[in-house]
Amino acid sequence: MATASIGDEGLLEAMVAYQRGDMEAFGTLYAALRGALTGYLRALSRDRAVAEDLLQETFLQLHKVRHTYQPPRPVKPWVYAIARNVFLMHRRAAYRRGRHETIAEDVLPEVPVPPEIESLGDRETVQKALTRLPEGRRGALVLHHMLGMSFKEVGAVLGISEGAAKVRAHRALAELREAMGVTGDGS
Amino acid sequence: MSGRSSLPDGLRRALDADHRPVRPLRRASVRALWVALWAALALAGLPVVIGMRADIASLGFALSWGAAVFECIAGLGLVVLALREAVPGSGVTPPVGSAALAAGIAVQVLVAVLSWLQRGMPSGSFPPGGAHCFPMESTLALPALALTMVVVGRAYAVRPRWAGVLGGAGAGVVTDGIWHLICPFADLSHVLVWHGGAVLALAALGWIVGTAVEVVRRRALSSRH
Repeated sequence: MATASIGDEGLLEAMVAYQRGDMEAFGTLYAALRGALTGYLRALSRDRAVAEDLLQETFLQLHKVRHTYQPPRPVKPWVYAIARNVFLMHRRAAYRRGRHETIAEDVLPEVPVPPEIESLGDRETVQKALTRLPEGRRGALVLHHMLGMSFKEVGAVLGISEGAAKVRAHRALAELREAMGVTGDGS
Repeated sequence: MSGRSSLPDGLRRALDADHRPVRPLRRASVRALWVALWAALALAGLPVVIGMRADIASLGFALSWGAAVFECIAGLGLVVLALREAVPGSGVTPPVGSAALAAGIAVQVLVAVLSWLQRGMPSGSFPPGGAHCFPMESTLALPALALTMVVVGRAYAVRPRWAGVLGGAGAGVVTDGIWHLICPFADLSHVLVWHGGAVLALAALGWIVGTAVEVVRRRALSSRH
């Protein structure tokens, strides 16, 4: 993931510089977070074009509320909590406009597959199974298994406890295994 | 490595329009000092302006001023949680928030029960008298609620309704602590129904404010896409 290229310390430094008015630091944050955030938003929205729109909206919100980041807290939970909020606002707005989410059986959803989960079966089947997970569990699974966040960070993003985040991710994994016909430890 | 040239046009325009340095938000407990200041001023001033309850001497210092300060501190605790909830990524988990809400109400009930016992368990009627306490206490809580919502609004609550409920209940419990020194009714049913009702109403008002914030944000997002 792109975030790994500068690490948590680098993100913190860039964020502090950005708050001090260094707009080049925003560019650094954008470059570091863009890839992983797009993956997360794709996992939530299940649509590449929507994810691109939401990515831009997330960075716009992030810019507006940059004063709400409190150093030296980790940057990622703050960013992903804003991204998730942008997605939820988008979903509610779409619902109000009558655009309900429907996924046709023959359409392959564009949900990125975490590498650890890819081994459960062929990519297409895993992707479909992942798409059918409820948003809360899918988000926890993607944040932990794809983005490598700790359960504490996942809990901070989702507004739940560390234990609840762990339960959600494990249940999501168990549901995926069940859907894939994989038993026990994945063997 | 990355510069602004790589940014999409919309983002670059937003950066050009506003690139001033910002000061990070202070800790929730520090931001809550505004509400604490209001509580201290109201605690010192309102009982003098409106008039202290007639049976204050029989309650004793601990169950009058002590209980009032205790309730104010419990309410401020809820306000601190609302302000924490308003910072993305540091929200209050539902079990912690629910427990805090229950604790705030428990403090109010505890003060009511202890004061009632101290006053010799006066019997009340049903429906309890003194209904005017409900609008009086709710109105007096509005500045605390407004102040809390302004401080919450300075941040960015990703769950504005939840922050609103916590902040509203907090403002309600703080004000109930002050009203405890003023209200002349000592029967338990009065306190539980009208004072408890005021706290619940304030929490509901906080929820409504949070909903309004959410609607405004959703419309703003819709207009951009």
